[in-house]
Amino acid sequence: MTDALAFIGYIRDHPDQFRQLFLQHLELTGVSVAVGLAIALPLAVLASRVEALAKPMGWISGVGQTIPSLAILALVLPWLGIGFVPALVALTVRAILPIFLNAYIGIRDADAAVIDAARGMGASDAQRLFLVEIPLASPVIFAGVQTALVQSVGTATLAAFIGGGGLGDLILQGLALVDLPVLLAGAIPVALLAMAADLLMGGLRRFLVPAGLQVRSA
Amino acid sequence: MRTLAHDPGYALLLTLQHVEIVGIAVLVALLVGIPTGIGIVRLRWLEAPVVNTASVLYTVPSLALFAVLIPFTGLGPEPAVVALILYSLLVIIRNTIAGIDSVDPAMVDAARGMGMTAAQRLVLVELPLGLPVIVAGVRLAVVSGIGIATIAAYVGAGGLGILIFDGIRTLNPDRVVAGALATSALALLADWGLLRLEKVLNRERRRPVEAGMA
Amino acid sequence: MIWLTWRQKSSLRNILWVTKIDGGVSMRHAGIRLWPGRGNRRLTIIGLLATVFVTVTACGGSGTGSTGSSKPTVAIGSKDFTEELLVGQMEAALLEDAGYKVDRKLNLGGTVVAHQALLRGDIDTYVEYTGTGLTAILKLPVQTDKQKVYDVVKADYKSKLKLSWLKPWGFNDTYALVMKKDKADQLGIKSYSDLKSKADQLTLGATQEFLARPDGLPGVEQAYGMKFKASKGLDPGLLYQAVSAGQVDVISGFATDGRIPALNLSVLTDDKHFFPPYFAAPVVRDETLKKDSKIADVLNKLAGKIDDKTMAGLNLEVDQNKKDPAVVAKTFLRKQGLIK
Repeated sequence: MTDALAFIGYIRDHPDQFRQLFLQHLELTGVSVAVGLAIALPLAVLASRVEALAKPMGWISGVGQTIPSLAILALVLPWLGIGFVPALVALTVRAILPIFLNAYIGIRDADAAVIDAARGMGASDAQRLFLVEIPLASPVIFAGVQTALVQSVGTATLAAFIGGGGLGDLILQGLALVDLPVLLAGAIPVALLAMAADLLMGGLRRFLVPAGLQVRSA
Repeated sequence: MRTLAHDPGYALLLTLQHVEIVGIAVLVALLVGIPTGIGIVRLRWLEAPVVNTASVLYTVPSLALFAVLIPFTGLGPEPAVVALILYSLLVIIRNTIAGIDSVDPAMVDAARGMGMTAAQRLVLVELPLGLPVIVAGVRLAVVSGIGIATIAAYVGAGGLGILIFDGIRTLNPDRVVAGALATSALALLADWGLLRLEKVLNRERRRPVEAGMA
Repeated sequence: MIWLTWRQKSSLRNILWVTKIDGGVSMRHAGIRLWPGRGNRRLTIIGLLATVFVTVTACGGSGTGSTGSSKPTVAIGSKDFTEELLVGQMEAALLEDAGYKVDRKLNLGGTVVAHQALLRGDIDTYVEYTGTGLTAILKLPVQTDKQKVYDVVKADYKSKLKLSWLKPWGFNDTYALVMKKDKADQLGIKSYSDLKSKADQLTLGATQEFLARPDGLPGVEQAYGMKFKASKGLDPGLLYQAVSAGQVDVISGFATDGRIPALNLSVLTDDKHFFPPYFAAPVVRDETLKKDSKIADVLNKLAGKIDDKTMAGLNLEVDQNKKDPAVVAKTFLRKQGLIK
């Protein structure tokens, strides 16, 4: 048990290193999901507007989900080399998929009657999208972002294979030397971070999604 | 890339290792998860603590979980199998509960009316009718497990992840692509097979129950 | 709190499937059709099966060994970089040629991972470096005399760990700080001491192991009183490309890496002799040798047979020419007349 808690001692003894890796991890996660959202949302709107695109795009993202994250990271290498930026690009690609799928489905399944009503009231296309469809889809979009964020916290550990930094560094160093405190100094904060991201997004969703759209439990 | 004839043995070995890791993990998760799910349906107060624990485990990133398990399991396929069991438990417990809950109460009442004991109702009515939902859980566990297992190559588990790591190590994109395609195809194949099973079971389910009760 | 989150997830259950993917969680809509209509389905499945088979077989690695012998099966391990894969394959090929069954458990991970596997009996042998045994495993102070290091390591492994060092194969794969030749010339850096005044402007790329090992970065920085601006932990295979492309300025390389001359890199001089010698030799479990002592004779066939330059050439075959380590190892042994 004392062994299991020795990781706290390691963090205390290496505050600068830990802070740097922790911040790198946050940055990798946050930026990849933010950029992923910025790319996925327009794509989802496009797919919901152009019938012919919806099917192939859904298919691509479905199949894309089955490609291992590690492979995406490895495939970025030949183009961008090593370091923080390539890791960020790979994580962004990974984040796009769940956000796109959820956003597309949310918009597609937005209540047709409500949209008709908006059209009847003379709302323009843009007004309909931003004032009706996206708010209606917001619970599902939020779920996608929540998923992407939790996933990104985990996938960011793999950045340590290609010089991207983050808490994965400590996990790999701990593994290389079979040094449990070092390993746990990486693994436990990552796990806590993933749970925190999950809770945070859950809370934000309750806070931001209009009350009438909150999904009631079955 | 080398020719197909060169060494199919090794290639097949990697695929089999991959299938084995995921297969064993999901089987064990089923053996543990289904009884747990049944227990929860009977003792509802257990749902929150059990499902929450499983959900928390579910958020732990795979590399972190493998790493934490190594002091207990050593290197090799063991940490991978244990990690995948822990991940699979959530979907399987949850879908077992959902599967039993989805059974029409009238059907259960009818069974009770026929004088079936609780155990008979479970085995003859609730589980068979809830099966498609449980299989849906298995499908999710298998498909996601196939992806996660690639990372397990780093802790000595073998499997198709070896090709990806080799590709990184020798700066050989061909190998990475081969590993990625093979993993992805394996996942899609499993997805297809289990989805089909789900559909067949669903069709069975819609048939009159007399057949099952005779 | 978590309970609420769970409730939310479960209430979304009818809309979304929660899927775990490698690294995190992902949701997937039940209604997205991944599968084409009835007509194409069989073709798709055949296509997928074919994809698994073709991609996998097209990229196979080592063979699975010969069968049909009463000799014990020997499990061979290796660390996770090219040279280790090569020497692991050489061990395997030598033993196979002598009629042993071989179980290749190569590419295990870093030093301690391979060492633990050996201690636990997961593997019977792997090739280790004397300096690594001295500092990383036995945690003894650095020495520079080649023979002394070997003697100390051999004696301590025997008495403390019940492991036998066989004869060194000849090459000294020391850790080395490596820079691009033109960059080193431009900054006037030839030795580690020259680095001292410039290190705070330079980024180091190194394996995660080097960043944490006492005879790695912490030791070098202390011995030479320098501190790099930043350090990036990388998979071993990526170091040379990274320094060659200018993404890092200095790397922790290996002296026998063929990419050093091939990519026009230069090895800096360890003028204070911080790094011990790293001669490579097989380490075997005593228990394994007890079962069959001839294993040692088979592996000793390579004693003194590979010099630094030869090893660098073999490494380059894999790293530059993308050859399979198993093939390179066998070809070399055949040329040496050590296997049929």
